[in-house]
Amino acid sequence: MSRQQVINYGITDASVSSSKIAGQLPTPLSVGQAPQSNVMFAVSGAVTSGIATQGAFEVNPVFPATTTTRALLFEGGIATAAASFTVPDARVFSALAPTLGAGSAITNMMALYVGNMGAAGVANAYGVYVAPQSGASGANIGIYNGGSMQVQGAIGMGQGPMAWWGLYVGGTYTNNSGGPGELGGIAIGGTLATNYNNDVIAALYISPTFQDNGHTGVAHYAIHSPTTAPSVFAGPITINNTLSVNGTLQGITGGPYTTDWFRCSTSGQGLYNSAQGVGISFDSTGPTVYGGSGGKLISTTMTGLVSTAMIAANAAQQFLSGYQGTPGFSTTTTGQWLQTAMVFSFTSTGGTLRIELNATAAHSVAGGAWYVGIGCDSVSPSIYIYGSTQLANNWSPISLVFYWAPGAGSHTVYGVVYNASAGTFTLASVGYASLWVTEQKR
Amino acid sequence: MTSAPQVGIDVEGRRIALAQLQAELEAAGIALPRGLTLSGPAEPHDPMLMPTPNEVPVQAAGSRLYTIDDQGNPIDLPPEAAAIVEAHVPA
Repeated sequence: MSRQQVINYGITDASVSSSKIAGQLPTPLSVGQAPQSNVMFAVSGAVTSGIATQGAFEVNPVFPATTTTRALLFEGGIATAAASFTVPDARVFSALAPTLGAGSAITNMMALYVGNMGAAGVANAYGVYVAPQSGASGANIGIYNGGSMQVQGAIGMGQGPMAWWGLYVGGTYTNNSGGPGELGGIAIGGTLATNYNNDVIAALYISPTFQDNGHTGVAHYAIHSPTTAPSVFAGPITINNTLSVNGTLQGITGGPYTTDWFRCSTSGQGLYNSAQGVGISFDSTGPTVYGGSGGKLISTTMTGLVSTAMIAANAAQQFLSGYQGTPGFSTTTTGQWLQTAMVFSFTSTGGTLRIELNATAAHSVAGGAWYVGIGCDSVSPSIYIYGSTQLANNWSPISLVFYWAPGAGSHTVYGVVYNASAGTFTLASVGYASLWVTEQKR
Repeated sequence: MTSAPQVGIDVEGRRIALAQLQAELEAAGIALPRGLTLSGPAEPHDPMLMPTPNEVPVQAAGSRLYTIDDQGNPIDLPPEAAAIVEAHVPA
């Protein structure tokens, strides 16, 4: 024999099993408060059990063996009436901000807590499973987080997460925009702003702690790109440590006077191949080439490698001035150095001067003696040779070379003669006489 | 370029036997204690046509006949030497 009591559709004893309770109840209904006309079922009021863990709803049904398609604990969706109107904001579940009574506090406030869905017998456990969003005229986003997010485990993009990669970008990302553009695995855009002087703003900041845990041969890389695809940086790259190049280091454009050229900032630095022991360094004296023992580059230890073509004009010696002609000089004056037509002035830069004189001379008297010399800034000779004409008017060839280091400036050289015997001494005009000055630049 | 001295008489291409001319000048009372010098552009001549003894090569116009002072500097001959030079004929 059961007992029931129904007053204004409220239930005061839920232990009854009358068919009136099991059937459809009119709305609105409420628990702990008066029914509200705009809410089909309302629960409010204080929970007064006095037990440490209390709640508004607790649902723990047991699904029988006939549940072979899907087990649902809560399922519901928004439906609207067949009429012309727009609902500005529709939410299947809506968690509101908490309201704390005076003096109360909450340590961890969570709008949604999802426990571990994994257990023995569960094939795939998902805390939150969001189906792909599509069909909306605007955004189609699975999860929108208006604030921050903390992920304690790994993240897999396009595939399941892998515990050894904090963030792994897999899957396939395709440009379907209708035109060429840029796409890739990770893009960093947005705005990076600071409010402080001397700040460091980095689009990608890499500063991990490497732990080898006692293992050897472990390589550490800030960035490791095993692909052979090139990397392109439109901006400059600063290397504050060693730059090791296993391949080819080459400039793309430019020359020694542009910023595109390879540069060293310290005197003595340059390019060095440690395998061959060869390199080029640069200091205040210019480039120095180190060829090593087996290299083919020019070095101070190698000889015979500079060809004539490698020496610039006037780098080794330079012709300064000269006389070439038929001097037409005859004299009966004896015992005196005399200037001839072989005379000229020139300007040297301070190198040693090579002076060459060639002429032909004769005396009108058999056995007549004479001298021919080179005067440097003076008719008095710096060097001379002696001759004696054994047959009257018999010509004698003369050749003289003198090295002179007078220093830089204007100088005069003279072809001079000295008639040592009575009679006529003559510089022949049968052939040409010459007097040349060459400055030795090396 | 420094040129040869421009003192003395321009011999204007004349054939001259210098020792003979010196003797002719000295015979005319012109003292030449330091001899005569003939300097200037010469006419290159055929190597096969050697000058005769005591004859200097034929001088081109502009060649100068002069003597020297005690320091070896070229100086002019006395004015009266010009006529003797003009009359000179190598022997």
